[in-house]
Parts: sequence; structure tokens; C-alpha cells
Amino acid sequence: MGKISIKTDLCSGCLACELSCSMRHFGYFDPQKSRIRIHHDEEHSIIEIHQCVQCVERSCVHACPVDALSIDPVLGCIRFNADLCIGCKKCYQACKYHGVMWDDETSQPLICDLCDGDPECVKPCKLHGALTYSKKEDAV
Amino acid sequence: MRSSYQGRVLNVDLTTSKIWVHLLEESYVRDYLGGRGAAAKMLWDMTGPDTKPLSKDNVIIFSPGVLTGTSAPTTGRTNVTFKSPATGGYFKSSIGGALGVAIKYAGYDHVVIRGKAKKPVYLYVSPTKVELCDASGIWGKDVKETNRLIKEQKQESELKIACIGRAGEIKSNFAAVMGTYYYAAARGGGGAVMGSKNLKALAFSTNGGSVYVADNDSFVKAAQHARDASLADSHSRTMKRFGTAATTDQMCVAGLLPTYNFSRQWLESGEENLTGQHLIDEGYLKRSSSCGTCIFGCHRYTKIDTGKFAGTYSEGPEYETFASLGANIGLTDSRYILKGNEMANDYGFDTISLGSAVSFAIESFEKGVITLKDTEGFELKWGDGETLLYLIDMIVQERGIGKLLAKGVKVASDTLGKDSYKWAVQARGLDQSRVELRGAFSYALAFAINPRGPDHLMTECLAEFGSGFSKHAVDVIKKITGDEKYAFPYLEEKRAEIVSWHEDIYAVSDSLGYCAFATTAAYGVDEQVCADTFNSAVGQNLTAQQIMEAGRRIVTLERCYNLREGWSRRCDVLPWRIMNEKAVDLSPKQPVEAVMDEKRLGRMLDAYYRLNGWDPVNGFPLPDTLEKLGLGYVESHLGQKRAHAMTAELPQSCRLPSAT
Repeated sequence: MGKISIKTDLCSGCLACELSCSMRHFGYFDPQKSRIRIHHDEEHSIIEIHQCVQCVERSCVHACPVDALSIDPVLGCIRFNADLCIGCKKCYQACKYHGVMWDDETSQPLICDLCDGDPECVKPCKLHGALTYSKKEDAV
Repeated sequence: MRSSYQGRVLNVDLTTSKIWVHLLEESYVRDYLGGRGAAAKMLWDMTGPDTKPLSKDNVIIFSPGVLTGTSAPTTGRTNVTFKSPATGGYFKSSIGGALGVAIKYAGYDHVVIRGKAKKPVYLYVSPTKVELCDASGIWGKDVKETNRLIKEQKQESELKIACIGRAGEIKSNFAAVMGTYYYAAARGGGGAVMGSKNLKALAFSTNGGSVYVADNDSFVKAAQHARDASLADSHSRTMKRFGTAATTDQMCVAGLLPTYNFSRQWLESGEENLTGQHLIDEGYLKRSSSCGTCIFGCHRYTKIDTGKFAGTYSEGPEYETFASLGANIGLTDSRYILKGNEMANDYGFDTISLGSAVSFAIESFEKGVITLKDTEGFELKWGDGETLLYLIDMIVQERGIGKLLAKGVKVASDTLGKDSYKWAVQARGLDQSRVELRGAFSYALAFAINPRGPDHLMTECLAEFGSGFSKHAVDVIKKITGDEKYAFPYLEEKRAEIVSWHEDIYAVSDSLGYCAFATTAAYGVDEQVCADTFNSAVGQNLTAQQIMEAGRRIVTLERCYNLREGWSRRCDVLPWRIMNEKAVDLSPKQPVEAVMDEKRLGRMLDAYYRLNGWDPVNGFPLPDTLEKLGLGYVESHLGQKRAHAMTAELPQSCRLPSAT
């Protein structure tokens, strides 16, 4: 099992996580393709970080009418089968953590897959410390 | 080809409302490295000696770096390039925040604004739409409200906006362009250029758009290396924890902190209030914030929760703001400095020159050159927070002496006369930033030849302080000079080499979008890292040496721009006070006499000119030098001027006191 811990107070709003995520999954930089989103009210310096938190409820999996979403038995992250997805957006609507992003271009969800256990978003955040990755054995 | 730089230029003519796109040739990225370099070439082509800075003929160019919009660390910077109303010369001011990333995702590498709108407008840019919108209802508003109103009008809460406040509207010579609320392209009066064009703002949508690189694998590897190397430098942690005001108190103890309008170099007490640590201790620091992809996060979001100034919020103060609105007017009550910083950011002033105007006014008042009549009965005093806030309001409202101060210290001093040039701490029309040049010889040389004027934002020579700054600084000096013994700020030797290297890497940093702190404060992003990230992003094959040569090409072109304006070696000077008065608090602490007089500066300049193939007589790059750099085309504009450079009348901004 793996988990990305989010400490919003430590986020500086640099957005490198979004860009690294997009490059890893799509081969180019596009914040709209990222599976992590930083919402930044710059005037008051209020930041929200939205990303799949591998919640207990797994509402997105339950909401999917065609079993396009499943739970990865090793990492515990959500696996997405694009071939089965019908673009109904129910997973997106079901997630109360705003952990499911919606890709308007493909009409399919974007959900963190922990980059197969080596998440890219965490790498530029080393000094800020807003995102840290831990595996099950040392997960808190 | 896939590249993070497409050479796509968005052109807007405000006179005709015409909007069009054109593509730059490959040479703009290969030879000028995009960003700052390409903008310098465009400014050279589009303007000249006949261009009045506040006329419709001037242009203002927004240029994110070549790497901005990628994940390369600390590459969120944008160059704002224009002919300066303060100096009359070439000017590049750099802005952080999220603006540059938004410009790149909107699909542009440069945005060039020319002409003048009939009534106030703002530019709205999205990947699918570019339009000029009516700003009549926004004119007169300050920065926070301008942001709010445009977001409301467009119903896009995440727009990234660059705008002017009232400072730009009154065309103050130190009006900033303010990006994403609190980030400033502060110096040189870019905000006045926007104001003169009736351009209130540029707003970039964040909906859509993408940035590609030429070689994904190489790029991701190079970017990760840049990150690792930056984090290995201990100064990265200092910047993260304390911001730019990490060492204000130590500078004071060392006698290197400009105070009382540069007449002293330390404060009697209270210097600890002007630090990043103080912002933490008092609970003012609410978040360390970053420009795009920055791994350091040196910016400070601050708020005062209680007391007289409860509700004050902004970002900063940076070191320069603490020093300008604080130390240099003898003020150590941080509440007033935070309030002054908030006002400056909201009105859209450069805090360095704003502080200069305030300290100049206080000294002028003290010496009787301005009187109670000029200040509407208000007594200006050193160390007084009320004086600071009162003068800021006088300036933005153009009341009394404020109207003259808004034009900057150079114009104010020219107008007031009576020896006031002696305490107008400026050169070439730009107020000096807060470095004690009599105790830092590389800085002194760099400030003297800086095409903007005497400040640290075309070169940042912290490395000359050696182990007093960081152990990596010593390594950098050794790399440049061959011997670490030159990592000592009171030496004349090797200053030319140190300054030239810093100028070149700074030009590379700006062009690629790297923050100068990544290359010249922490040193992880070196020539090789620049070359590797650049090559893999744009598909070029430059060596580390070639990328530094491109940096020198940019620096030289910027120099030539000013020579074409009538500048020469005679303009390569420092403020009168720095060159003619001893640094009193510094003297016991340094091994040489604490002056930066004409002779000492002249020797260092001679060495600099010779090193770079410039003519020591007039400060012009020799024709051979221009040819070697691929700048042969500028010679036809300079040829005539070479012969008369040392006798021709200088532009007003450069006229020396004896000549006025």
C-alpha cells in the first residue's frame, strides 16, 4: 500500500506537482490533465489541494455503473479501465474529497494512480513538504 | 518540432485595436535564448532614440522564460521589457508568481503591446480568444480591487492578471507592473508605460493549453538534476525558512546595511525587526509562497492580526523593502513597514524607489531644501512610521511635494537643485538598491555598468562574500577566477571576471525563466544545468560555454541599445554619495579605505572593458567584438557615436551633477 500525505499549510502554490503529473501521464505539460489540482486564492493566500486520498469509502468505485474503476491490490490506489468507461461522470460526482478530476477532452476521469509507487508530484515538493509519499510499512 | 518555445508573439496595437500573431525565426531561441534575450532584440528593432518612453511609440513586452510552463524548478519568471521613463534606456524587469505560466499556457512566448488606447482597456487572453475590454470602471482602482473586478467581469476566479494601480495611472517613474496580486516587475517605470497607453491590465485565462518539450526523458532527468543540485545548496533552506530578509540583522552588524539615505551603514537598535525571523516570531508570516515551479518559496504572505494595523495583508516585505521602507529611513517598527509595503503593493509602486523618494524627502527637509509648505505642514522625521505612510499617500495622490517625488529622486533633485544631487542616491535615473557598495567591490562594478542603473537585478554578486555568504559561494569564485582567495569583497582584482560571469549567467537565467536565486544565490543551476534543460526542452545542442556566450550576446546588445541612445563610459558611474563620501560605519571593519571613488571604480571598469573586448576610452564594444558575437548589425547605429561619445551631450538621466 502507498499513500501521499497532504499538508496544505505547507503548500507554497508553485504548481510543480500538477505539471509533473501531467508529464508523467500524458507526455506534456498541461495543468488540466493533472490528477492533482491546486486551487489558490492568491489574494488571501488560501490553498486547497485536491487529489485522490485513497479514502475508506471508495465512493467512486461504488458509483461506477460499469466497473471501470477498481482498487489496486498492491498500492491501494484506484485503477481505471478506459475501455469500460461510458463517461457518465458518476465517479466525479460521488467523490466528496474532490479527488476525481474530469478530463473534458476525453470525457473520462483522472484519478491518482500513485505513478505505480513512485509518484512524480511529490518529487518537486521536497523542501516545501506539502506532499510526502509513504509505503504501507512506514505509513502512519 | 516539439519545443517549450515556439517563438509565438501575440501583438496588440492599442491605437488601432488590431491583434495579430507572428512567429519568430529560430535564431531568437538559438542565439538569444528566447525570453529576455529575444525581447532585447525586439526592443532594439522596435524602438530607438526617437521613441519617447511615455508615448504610443514605446512598446512593453511580456516574455516568460523558455522553460516557463515546464516542471523545471524555479522557472516561473517573466521578463517585462520596455524603454524606461526613469532612465531613458533599455529596461528589463522580472516578475514572478504565476503570470508567466499562464502566458505560456495561453499559447504565447511573448506579448508585445504598442500604441495607445483612446480610453482605458484591459487585454483578455485565453487559448481560444484574445480581446480588448473596456476598463473605464476599473481605472482608478488599486491592485487588489482591479484583480477582483476583472475576475468578476470575466467570471473566472483563477485568471492570472498583471495590472497597474494608481501609481501607473499617474505615470510615476517608479510605477510597477503588478502580477497575480503581489509580484512586481517593479523597477524602471513599466507601470507608467502601461498607464501612458491606457492599459490597465492583462488577464490570462488558465483554461486549457499545453507546453511540450523536445525530449521528454532527457528533460525530466535534467529537471530532476536541477532540483537535486539546488537542494544540495544550503542557501535554499535559508531562503525557504526566512525569505530574502534572512540576514538583515547580520548585515547591520557587519556595517553593510544602508541606513539614513545611505549616509550610515548600521542602526543603533531594532535591526532584528527587519528580518524573516521577526515575521515568524510576531506571527505575521502566514505562508511561504512560490513563483511557478519554485522549490524554494522565498516569498512571504503576511498579515497583521491585532493592534492599530490589524487587517493589513500582502506579500513581503522582502529584504529590499525592509531596507528601503525601514532601515534607510531609520525606521524599525515593523508594523509601519508592513503597512507601507501593503500600500506600495496595492498602489503599484516599486518599494525600492518609493523608499528612495521618502529618504530623499526626509533629508531634503532636514537640510531645508523642502519645507513645511511643500509637505502641507507635516514635519518629516527619520525613524518615523507616520512620515512613511504620510509621504506614500502624498505621492500617490500627487499632493504637495508628492507630485514631484512621484517622478523619482533624479527628477526631484534636478528640479529642487541646491546640492540635492549629493543625497539623491541614484545614477542614470534609477535609485540604487540597498547594497553598501563601498564594502562590496563586485557589486560596485556591476552597479556602475548595469544598463538599468545601479541595482542588483541584472547581476547578483553575493558570491564575492565567499564563506561569509555560503561555502558554495567560495566554489563559484574559484570556478570563475581559479583561486578562492578572490572570494573577498574588498578586492579590486578579478572583479571584472566575477561581474562578467554573473552578468552572463543572469541573462541566461532570465531568458530561460530561471529565478536568479537558483543561479546566483543558491548555485545548483549552473551553466551545464542551464544547457541541459534548455537543449532537452527546445531541441538545441548548445554547450555550457555556448549558452554563456549567448548570455554575453544579450548583455552586449542591451549595452548597445543604451549607446545608441547616447550613453557612453561617462554614464558608468555610481551615485554621488557613494563615490564621494566615506562609509563611516564600515571603515573600522574593512582593510581598505571605505570609498568607491572615481579612481578605484575606473580601474575596475578598465579591466571589465578589456576583458570583454570593449574600448576603455568610451565604453563601446569594439567592432570585432560585435562581429564575434553575431551583433555586427548594431555597428551601423553606433559607428558615428563612437567618435563623439566622450564629448556629446548626455541624455538627461545620465547628466552628472557638475554638468547640470
